Amino acid sequence: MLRELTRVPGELAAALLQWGASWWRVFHFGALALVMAFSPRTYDKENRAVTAKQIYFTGWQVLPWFTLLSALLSMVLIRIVVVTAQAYGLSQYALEMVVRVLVLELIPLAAALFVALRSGAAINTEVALMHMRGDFDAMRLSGADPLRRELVPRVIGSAVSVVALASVSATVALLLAYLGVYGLSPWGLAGYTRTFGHVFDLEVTLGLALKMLLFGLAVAVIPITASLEMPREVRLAPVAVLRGMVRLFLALVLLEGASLAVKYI
Amino acid sequence: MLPDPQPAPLIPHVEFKAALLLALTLALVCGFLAYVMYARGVFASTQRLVLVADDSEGAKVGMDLTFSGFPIGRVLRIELAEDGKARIVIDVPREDARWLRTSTVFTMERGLVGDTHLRAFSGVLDDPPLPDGAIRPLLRGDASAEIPRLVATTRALLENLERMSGPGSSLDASLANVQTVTGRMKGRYGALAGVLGSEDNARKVITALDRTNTLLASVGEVSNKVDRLLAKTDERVFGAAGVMDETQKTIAQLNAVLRDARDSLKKADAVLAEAQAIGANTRAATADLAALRAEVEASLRKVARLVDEINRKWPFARDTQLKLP
Repeated sequence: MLRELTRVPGELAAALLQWGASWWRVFHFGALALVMAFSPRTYDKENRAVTAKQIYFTGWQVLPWFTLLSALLSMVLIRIVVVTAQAYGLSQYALEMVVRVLVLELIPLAAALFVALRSGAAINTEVALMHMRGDFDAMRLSGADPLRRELVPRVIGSAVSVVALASVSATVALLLAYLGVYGLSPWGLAGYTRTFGHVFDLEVTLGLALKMLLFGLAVAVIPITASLEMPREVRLAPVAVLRGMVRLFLALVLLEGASLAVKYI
Repeated sequence: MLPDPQPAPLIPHVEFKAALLLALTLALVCGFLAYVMYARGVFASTQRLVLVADDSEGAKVGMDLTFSGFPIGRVLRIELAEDGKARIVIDVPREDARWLRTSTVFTMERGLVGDTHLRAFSGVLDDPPLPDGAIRPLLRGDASAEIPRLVATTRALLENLERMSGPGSSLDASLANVQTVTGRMKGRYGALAGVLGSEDNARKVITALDRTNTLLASVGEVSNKVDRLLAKTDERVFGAAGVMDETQKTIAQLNAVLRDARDSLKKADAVLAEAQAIGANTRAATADLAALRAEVEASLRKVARLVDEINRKWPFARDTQLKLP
């Protein structure tokens, strides 16, 4: 009985320690990937090809579909906001609300979730299998750095994809917002520019840039770290994927919540 | 049994596509940043305007200053001055600053719903433009501050209304009086009885009216007579050989008399001219008289000397008295 009682806090402490160590590995790998992404030496010929392939698979392939989907969703949301605002006689706030809700919050989050669902899960599985098959050890033996050759290109691909998807969709949403509020008339441009300037002050613009960067990093870094810290047993591959994806969603939601809290509280 | 993994199919121009996506993203991000900077007025040259208010509640950084509903400036910062007043520093683009004149009035209004509004009103657009860094007072209008006063006034109004309409109030008594009067109006003499108080009075008034009618008839006759009199007078005064004709003739005669008088006066004028000539001659004669007198005096002196001579030479008489003939 006593042993049971002493064991529980011990296990709790161990779990907490493991949790902390795991997140520490996430931050460490993220920082490492960021530094390597900005170092010109990373982009030798072979690496460039791998990175280009990652960008192609993660960003290029889904760009039209994602843009179409987000345009549709944006149009519906813009219409709802504009009609509701008009009904309450608050149409002067419709544009600001549309820009804030869509461009600042929904579209970056949607882009991150889309890349996470499509590529994050794939990266998680792929890296877990490579790790379990011992591909990385083989690479190290042959003199290649698996971090540089396989992992960093995936991080760069995810980050670029999140930013690309979000910026293209945001541009489309901004155009749709103009059309939704002012119609085809060019005379709303001055008011539109003014509202735009109102929304995007320095803090909001920097916050948006930071959020996009963190989203892009999280989408690849968290699944990769989750795959690498698993024991090398193939039966544990689903656990690695599950753990990586849960952690990724948690991170995305926390980042979005923190961004909202900083802006509005 | 899973099939053996096939080598990934070769993707054409993968590096070019990735570079294209990167370039597109970069272009969008750069365009976005440039547009944000343009929208926030980074490229526009601005001038500073400071509004001083007792209370900056409701004002916030980034809000617009509007003129005729158009935003022409933006609040840059709000600070507390040494004298305890709020200073609202506003950036106004130079091209919009022409709407601000030295006589411009600035107001801050708070509605019940929605934002606070900063407004500028320029009544005289010919006044000199507002200089850079001008400090102006800010007038405040606060709808929510008016509510307690409004409620108090409404309550007083309702109390008055209640007092006026309650039983025994003056309004109630007035209505009772109106009822009495309308009751009287229903009688034989109608509204007249209502106004005068009783049917007796009404009857008297009607009698008086009848008499007045008779009186008016006789007045009519009198006026007819006066008319006839006037016609006769007209004939006598203005008719042929009337008073006016005679008067006209008299005036003609008077004209002739006056003409004669004028001729006589002309003659008198000539006589006077001649008299003037005579006067001039007399003046000349007076000048000759002075010379004559001098000659007479000289002759007299000579005679005196002659008498003195004779007296000396005359031996018989020592009478010194000289007797002139």
